Amino acid sequence: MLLRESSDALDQVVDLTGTIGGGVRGDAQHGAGSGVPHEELLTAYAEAAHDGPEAVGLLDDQMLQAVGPGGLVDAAATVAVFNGLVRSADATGIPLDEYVMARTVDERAELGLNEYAGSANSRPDS
Amino acid sequence: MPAFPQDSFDHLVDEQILATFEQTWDCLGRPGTWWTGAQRMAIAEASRSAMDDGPRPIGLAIPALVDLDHVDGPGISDLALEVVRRVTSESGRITAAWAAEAIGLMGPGRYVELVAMVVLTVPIDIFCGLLGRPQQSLPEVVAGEPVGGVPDGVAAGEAYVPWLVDGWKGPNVARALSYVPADNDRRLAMVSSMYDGSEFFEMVWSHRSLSRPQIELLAARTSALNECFY
Repeated sequence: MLLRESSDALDQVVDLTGTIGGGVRGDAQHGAGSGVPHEELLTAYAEAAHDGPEAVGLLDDQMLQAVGPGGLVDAAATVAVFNGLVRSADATGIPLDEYVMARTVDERAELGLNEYAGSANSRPDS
Repeated sequence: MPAFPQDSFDHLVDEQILATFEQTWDCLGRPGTWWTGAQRMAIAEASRSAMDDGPRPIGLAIPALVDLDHVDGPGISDLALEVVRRVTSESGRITAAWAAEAIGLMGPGRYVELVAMVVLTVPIDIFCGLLGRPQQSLPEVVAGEPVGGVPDGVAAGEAYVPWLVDGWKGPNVARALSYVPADNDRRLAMVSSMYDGSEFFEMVWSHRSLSRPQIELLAARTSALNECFY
C-alpha cells in the first residue's frame, strides 16, 4: 500500500508484481522498468541481499553508479531493518492494521499474499 | 570508544543510524526486563548462529518444544535456543499453536524479550554485512538481575503476545513488543533511523537519498522474500 501511495504522490506508475518476483513491466516513458527509478536494480539488490553479503557485493558498483553511496546505504538500511520487522511481525502474530486490510483487498488477492504462511496470523478475516 | 564509528564504514552512514546502533549495543549485555545480561548475550550469540545456519529443511524432525529442557541457568535453555532459531531463521513457519506453546513454557516476558534481542541484532548484522563491514563483536556482559515488571495497559489481544491495548492508535507493528517497553523503544528508534525518520505519514520523503517509492519497493521485496504477510 505504501509503495503504491508514495508512487502516486510522485506521479510514478509502479508494477506491484515486481515485489513478489514477477519481474518489472516496462513502459515507454521509463524504459526497462516501470515508474520507480532503478526499480529493476533495487529489486535485484533486495533479492541478492536475501542470498547473502557475497551476492549483494556483486551489485555494489551498479548501485553506486545508479543511486550513489547515499542510495546504497539507504538500500542496505531498508533491507536490514525490514529483516527485523518481518521477524517481529511473524513472532508476535500481529494482525494487519484494519485500514491497510481494507485498502489492499485487490492487491493481496492479485499478488497471492493471502497464501503466505504468515497470513494466518496477520489476517483478522482468516 | 564507540562500537560503530563512522570510519568503520566505507560510505557515510546517517548519524542517527549510528546512534541507535550504539544505544542498542550498549544494552545488549546489560540485564534486561526478563533476562540477565549473560542470557541476553547468549540469545544474541544463538541468533547469529541461526543466521549462519539458515532455515532447516522442511520435514526435518524437530523436537517438540515441551520435550526440550526449559530451565534457564546462567545461560539459556534448549527451549530458548530452539525459539531463537525459529524466530531468527524460520519466522515464516511460526504458527499460532507454536507461539502459544512457546509462550506458555517461557512466559510472555521472556518470549517477547527474546524476540526483541533477535530483532535488535539481526538488522545491525545485516546492515554491516551488506556494506562489507565485519560483524561487530558482542559487548561485555554486565552483572545484575532482570528488573522484571509488566507495563501498565498491556493485555491479551489479537496478537500472540500481550500488548498495549489502552488507547492505542499507532500501527500494530509498533506495539508488537510493547510487553518489554525498554527494548521496544530501542527497536522503534532503530526503525525510525533506518526507515521513516519520523515521516511515516508523509508520502514524499526528502530525508533519504532514495525516494520513498524506491525505499518501499526494497521493503516490499524484502518482506515478500521472507513471506511476511504483515
